Amino acid sequence: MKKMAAGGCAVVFITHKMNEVQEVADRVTVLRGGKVSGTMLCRDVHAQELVWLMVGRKVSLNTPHLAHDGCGDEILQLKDVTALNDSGRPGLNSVSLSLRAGQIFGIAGVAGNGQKELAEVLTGLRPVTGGSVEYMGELVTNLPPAELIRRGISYVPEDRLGMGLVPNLDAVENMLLKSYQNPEFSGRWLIDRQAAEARTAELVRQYNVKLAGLNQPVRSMSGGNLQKLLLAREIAGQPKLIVVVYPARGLDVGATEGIHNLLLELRDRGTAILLVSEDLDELMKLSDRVGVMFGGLMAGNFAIEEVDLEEVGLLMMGLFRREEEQIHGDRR
Amino acid sequence: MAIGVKFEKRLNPSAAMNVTVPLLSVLAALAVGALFLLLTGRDPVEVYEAMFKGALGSSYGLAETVVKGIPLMLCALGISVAFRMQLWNIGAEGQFYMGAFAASWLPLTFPDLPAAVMLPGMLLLGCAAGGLWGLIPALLRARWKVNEIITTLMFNYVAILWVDYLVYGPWKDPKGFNFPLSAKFPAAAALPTFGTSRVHVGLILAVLLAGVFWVVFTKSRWGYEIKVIGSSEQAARYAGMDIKGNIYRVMLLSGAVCGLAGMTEVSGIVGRLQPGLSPGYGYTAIIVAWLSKLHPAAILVVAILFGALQVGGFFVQTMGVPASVSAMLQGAVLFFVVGGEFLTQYRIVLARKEAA
Amino acid sequence: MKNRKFLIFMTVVMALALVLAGCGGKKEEPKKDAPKAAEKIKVAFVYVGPVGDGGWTYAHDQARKYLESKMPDVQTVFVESVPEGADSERVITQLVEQGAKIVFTTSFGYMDPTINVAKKYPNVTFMHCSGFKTAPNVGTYFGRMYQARYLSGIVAGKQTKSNVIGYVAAFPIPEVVRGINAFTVGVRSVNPQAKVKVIWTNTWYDPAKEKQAAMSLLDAGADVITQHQDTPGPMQAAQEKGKFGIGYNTDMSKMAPKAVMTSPVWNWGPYYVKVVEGVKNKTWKNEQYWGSLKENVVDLAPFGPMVPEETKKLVADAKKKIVDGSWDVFWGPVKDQTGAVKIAAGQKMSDADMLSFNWFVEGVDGTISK
Repeated sequence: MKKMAAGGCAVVFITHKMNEVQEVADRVTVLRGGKVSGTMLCRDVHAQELVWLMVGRKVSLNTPHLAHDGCGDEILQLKDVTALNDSGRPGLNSVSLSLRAGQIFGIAGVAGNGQKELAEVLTGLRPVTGGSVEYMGELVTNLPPAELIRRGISYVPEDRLGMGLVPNLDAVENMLLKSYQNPEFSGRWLIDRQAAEARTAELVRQYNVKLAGLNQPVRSMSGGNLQKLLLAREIAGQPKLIVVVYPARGLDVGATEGIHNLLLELRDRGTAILLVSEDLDELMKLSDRVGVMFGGLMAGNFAIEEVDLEEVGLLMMGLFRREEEQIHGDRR
Repeated sequence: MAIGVKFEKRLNPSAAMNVTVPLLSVLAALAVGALFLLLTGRDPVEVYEAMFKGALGSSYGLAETVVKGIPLMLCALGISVAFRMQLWNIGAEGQFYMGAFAASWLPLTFPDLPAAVMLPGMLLLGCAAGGLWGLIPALLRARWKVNEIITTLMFNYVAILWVDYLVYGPWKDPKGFNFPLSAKFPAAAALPTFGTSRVHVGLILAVLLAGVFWVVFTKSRWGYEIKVIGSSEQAARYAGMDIKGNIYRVMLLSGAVCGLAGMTEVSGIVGRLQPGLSPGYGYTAIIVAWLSKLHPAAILVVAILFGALQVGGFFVQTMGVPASVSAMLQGAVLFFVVGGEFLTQYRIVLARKEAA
Repeated sequence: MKNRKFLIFMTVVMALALVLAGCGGKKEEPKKDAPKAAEKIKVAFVYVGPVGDGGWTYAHDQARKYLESKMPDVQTVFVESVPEGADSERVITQLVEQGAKIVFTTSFGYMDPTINVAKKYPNVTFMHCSGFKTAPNVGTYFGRMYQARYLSGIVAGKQTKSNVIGYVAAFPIPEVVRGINAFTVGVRSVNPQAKVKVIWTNTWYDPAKEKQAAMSLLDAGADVITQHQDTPGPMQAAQEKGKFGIGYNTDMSKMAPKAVMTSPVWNWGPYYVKVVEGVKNKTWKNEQYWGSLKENVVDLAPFGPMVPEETKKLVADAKKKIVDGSWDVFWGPVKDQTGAVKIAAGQKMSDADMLSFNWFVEGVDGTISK
């Protein structure tokens, strides 16, 4: 890249790796939430400053976090869990964490650093290659998804239309996705569509989901309503543990607020929640603990009171405080 | 400036369109066919009338249309199970032949069995062989992600050549002057027919199956799983559904129904194993299944219509319309119906593009 | 959107026009039918291939035209490309229902259907070509094509330089096997070193596949190609490679004039006239007719310019012997591929044995799947 630049070529380089920026860039622009939050010459810049630009200075000010101490029994414990990513390379690297009932554990990190693998390991969709997963005091490592669903693990995936919901199916059929075998909705062979319809109508009312009709394919619904429907279904199963990935991505302010309140309510009812998000505001607002993922590692794990946003930001970039000095020292 | 043509998927094709477009398509096809007939110096009205008369206008023609429709119905029903799960079973033809082969084994080996044993036995054997012939590609697909379109297609040739081998070799009728035919089945191996017509109880089997399939597809837990897996494999995995198991089950059933078609054809119509049992039923049935939108009741109707088209096609030849023209007519109907189908799903958008 | 509406509009208009035309047509119908009902004998033909195949079906269709031209009181009708499965029975039935009094079914696979339909219509006469089942109102007919094959073998045997002759064959059924054997006997009567190499295509009618098979025989060293197929594909292959060929069914010299030396041909016309006259005069019997060179049902097409006089003379001599009955192709001694004598000197192969031929004579390079 430097050669290209030296040859008179203008290079735009997009990355979230701080050391790469430091190494190759002359000028750096930080984008946050679709806006330029700052542009500066690289030699003038401190890594800290960049991090502030990235995470936003006023993060925790708008919603002061109320200490939440309704934590109960340990629901989930991961010990040195390792798994491969889609291309067969290590995706999760010896991750350990513990999650209690009534607790929201936030996972911060730039997308693609192992969050998806973590969520899929917990829901049985990805084989664990090392370590152990304990749920409600029992070893559940590599149990099939159906079994984990039966035991009360819910999952709101990142891909809400396509994985969480099936675009071609109507709301009722989507509601049935995980409960079509429950005696409530089906006999030995046949599904009781009426019961399912009644239940869906109830959920739709309760969660205020707007849709064209229960019998319309859900693909035409808006993102916020899809997410509400999806959450409604996952909550309706009365889970002990719910894994929620990027719940507010692509939603407007009102819808986001609604989703957040749902999660808090769920927490208050004693559900353990693992919340994966890229949005630090969201994490700060909802979480009781925050972990940071980088390169498949759990790079940090803080109680919410101890969170130092700057540190979280640096960890997200793959920088540890100790190394920061070296990088600054390294600068030419 | 350039004009670009784009196809946009319609969100919700209206119900009215779903009915009118196919009808208009058939009429358009007939109109084009009429033009063609006029150009080749024939009276289109006379030809169409004859076509209709030959296929549907007499009780004999009607019965023969149904005879032609039965294997199409059964194969299309079989195909529809797999297609509902987006498993592209192109192998109905081979499964048909394997069903015919296995069903033939019983009367050729034990010609003295009574009908009460013979027919159920042939039915079971036919279904089992067709099912297994579908199961092998399913195993390859589920275990090693081998594309089932290729394997099922290839398996067609294997099955056809296998039947050829049998009738040219070990199963050749010793009294048949070395001609490639098996011995004639005993009377106990013939499916009962309605009256003096050739319409056999395969029709009842097809109608019953269509009813069962309708319940399975729309009401059952299994049908629901098939629907979800067919719509989004990712969602099905997420919901904890057994995808591999369903691939096996679906292909087994799909093949078994196509095998049943083969059984009813050798038992109900031909009465012996011979090459060329199927003039491409397994392939035509793909079109039947697709045009019916995989709906079991629609499959029955469309299969009859296809039967009529072919019976009528042969009939108009007696008026001096060559086979190629009647094939062209059938092709035109197909082309327009498929084209119309496309237009109900998509709309054409003419967009101006800036020249680069 | 405008375009779409226009299209739909046009479609509706055309459809309406058609429906209206349909209404008009129906009224006319009865008038049209009336004069047709003149007392003509309706004779129907069921063909396995298209009439334009340039081979088997073409030969039958030529004979149909011959019949019409010779007997003005006969009206013919035909259905082509009829599959040998479930369809044929219906086609035959519908032809009878439309008033056919005599039906010629011209492919082996129509045997059972012909018998089935014949049972239901005892007053209609059925003639099935190449089969072996008869009934009171069903006769069979075929020709001793092997005699013409033998003659064409003489032509091939004299012409080959490489001593390899390619034979593109359809199915290993007795008819085809008999033809290959007769041809080979003919070849080796003038050229004992020559071999006849056989390739099976397992199809009667597939121009591309037949041509491909001929190509591979040419690549394997053959310099004369002959065929038991219904299309001139193999002849075209021979012409493209600058080699020679012997056609089949009809005179194929038009399709490949530089290659085709002659063709063993079918000449059904006079026989069809005989059958129809027999039915008309009520002298028809349900015989199993096997027409020969003598009756001219089989023959050789005119020689191409490349055939030397000497060969023509050899052929003429041989033909004379066969026609006057002093000799036939499978009169002993005849050896099989292993060299074992199957028909001893002085013995004649019976018609029954010829009709179920399932072994190759000496000089054939190929196998019959069993």
